[in-house]
Amino acid sequence: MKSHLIFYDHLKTAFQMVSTHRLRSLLSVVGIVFGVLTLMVTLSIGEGTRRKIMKTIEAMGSNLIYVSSHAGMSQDAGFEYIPLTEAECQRFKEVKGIEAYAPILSSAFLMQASTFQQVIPVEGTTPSYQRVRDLALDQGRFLADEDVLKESRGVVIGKDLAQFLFPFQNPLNQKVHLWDESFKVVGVLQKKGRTFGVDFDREVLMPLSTLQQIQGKRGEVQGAWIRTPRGDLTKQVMRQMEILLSRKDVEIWDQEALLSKKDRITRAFKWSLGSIALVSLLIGGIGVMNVLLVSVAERIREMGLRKAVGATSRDILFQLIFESVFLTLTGSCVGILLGLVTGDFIAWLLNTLLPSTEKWEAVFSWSSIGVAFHFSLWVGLLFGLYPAWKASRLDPCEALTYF
Amino acid sequence: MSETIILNSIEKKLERPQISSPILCELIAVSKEYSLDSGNVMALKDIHFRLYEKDFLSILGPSGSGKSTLLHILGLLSNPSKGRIFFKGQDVSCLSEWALARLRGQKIGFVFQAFHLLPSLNALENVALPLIYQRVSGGQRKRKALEALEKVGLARRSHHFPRQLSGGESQRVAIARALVSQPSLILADEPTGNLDTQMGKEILGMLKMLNEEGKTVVVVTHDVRIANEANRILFLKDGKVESLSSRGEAR
Ligand SMILES: Nc1ncnc2c1ncn2[C@@H]1O[C@H](COP(=O)(O)OP(=O)(O)OP(=O)(O)O)[C@@H](O)[C@H]1O
Ligand SMILES: [Mg+2]
Repeated sequence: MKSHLIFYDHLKTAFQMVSTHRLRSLLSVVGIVFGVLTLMVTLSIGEGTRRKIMKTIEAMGSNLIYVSSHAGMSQDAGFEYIPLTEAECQRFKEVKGIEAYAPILSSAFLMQASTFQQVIPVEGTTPSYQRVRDLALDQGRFLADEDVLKESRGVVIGKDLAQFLFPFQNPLNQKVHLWDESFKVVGVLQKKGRTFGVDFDREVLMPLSTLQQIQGKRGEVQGAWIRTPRGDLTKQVMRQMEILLSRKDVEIWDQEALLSKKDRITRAFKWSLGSIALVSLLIGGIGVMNVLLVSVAERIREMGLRKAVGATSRDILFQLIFESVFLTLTGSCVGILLGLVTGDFIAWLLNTLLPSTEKWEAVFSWSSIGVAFHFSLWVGLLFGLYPAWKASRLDPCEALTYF
Repeated sequence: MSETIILNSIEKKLERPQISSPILCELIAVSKEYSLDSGNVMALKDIHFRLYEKDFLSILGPSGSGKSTLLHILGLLSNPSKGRIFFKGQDVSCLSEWALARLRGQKIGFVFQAFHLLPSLNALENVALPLIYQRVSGGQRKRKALEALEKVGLARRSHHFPRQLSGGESQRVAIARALVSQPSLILADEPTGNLDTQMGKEILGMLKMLNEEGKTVVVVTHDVRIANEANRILFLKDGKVESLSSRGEAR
């Protein structure tokens, strides 16, 4: 049987139905359009966020290890934790395969200057931090052992911060005010960008002992960065450190562990939002079904006539399923296009509101378009089935005498 | 319109010479019962009758006597509750839904009082509609539909939509649609009911012409003048055959 002929006619009928009832068709597919749009946006922004996080972590380098007494990776240290001690960190020297390590105490201060007032991340650390994090200096010097010993008020600041504070002056030896203390700039870092939670360009580094003194946390640290000579040594070092510290509340991360954890989290996040969008798409199918039922009720005589001139129940069934699929696919195309635009818009909005070195982006993949399209197809089939079945079961005689 | 006039006209038909011709359709003890909430309605009761090829039959009767029901059964659009129908010698109760649809599409053409043209299709597409379900290719369809439109004298109107056509023109398009697959049987249910006398005559003339070309034509009507044009008249009352002017029928 030459079924492609009838396929073309179904397409034409479906198109005619949509074009003669434009407003109604539009309203019926609003649910589909929004479902697909949300799906596209959540998937693309979700994927963009995942990549952004991955890039940040990758920038960390494969030969770095981070130890913390808590999952203290986030900057808002609002939660309680049993701190690591400096004494515990001292013992890292015993671990074979460690090139350098630096204890870290992080904090944030409100910085007041004539031109601005802003919360600035502050890290207290030791001179070895320069080697561990591979920090190059633009001007001046890095923190020295002497600074730590004397709890000096010397700080190293990021390049962007320096330009902010001292746009027309040499920042070296200038005073900066943190809280109610005054500090002297001894060095300016070269531009490095945001790597792994820390924006070195906007940050203040001060001697560990100084920050401990200010915060009243003598001997406490939040975590430590450890550098191994080669990436393939990290696993072995991590094992040794676990034994050494023998603390359950200590987490030891390397790039790989962080990547897989964040990857899992962001993927789960992306798909949980995505499935909500899928549900809304499913609900959108009800709108389509409604309109098809109305359309069938309106076209009872048409169905009767088609049967009188030789259409089988199957012809009628296929015609209506076709119309349903045509409606939902049209809706999903509109949703995909709107989703592309909206995704980019949201990424742009995030970039203006929450600027960071790694840009926010909406990552569109063929797979998400495929998911949207595929799912709408099924929604169309599923919700078209009942109206189509109803239409195909009409008794042609009754249908023809129906007014 | 009094029944005596009708009966007189039937008697006239009876005087016509009898011609024997092959049987196209035979109804044996056909009954049709509709079950409603308020009780059952017997629309047709125990109908026996034969339709011959090249016959021109009119079905006459008061409203609600079962004329349309009989026509639908003849057109294989509905199944009888009881009895058998043989179409071209084939017991149609043995046919699948698909085969019935094919018979309807290829061997039978319907013309309705309300025209039943699809408003979203133009005249040509309306005429071509039955061919879609016979999977005739697009070019062929167009050619055949145009031919049928020419036959009813409406080739000029092929791109007009139903709302742009007068009642008479609409009915001619509907006739063209009934013709397009060159059926052997044309069934018309009050084809002139919605038209004025002049238009009615024109439509009737067209049906007569088709009959002369060899098609079997059945016309349901209220109008005795139209019924008189037919070779035979079947008079229905309360779902029963009250009288049938039989010609060539070996009873
Ligand atoms: N689908 C149906 N359901 C229930 N009863 C029906 C149905 N169709 C017809 N009837 C009944 O069957 C009887 C015959 O109806 P039919 O339409 O055949 O009459 P008719 O002779 O064509 O009348 P008219 O001249 O008014 O068109 C009527 O009593 C009608 O009420
Ligand atoms: Mg009737």
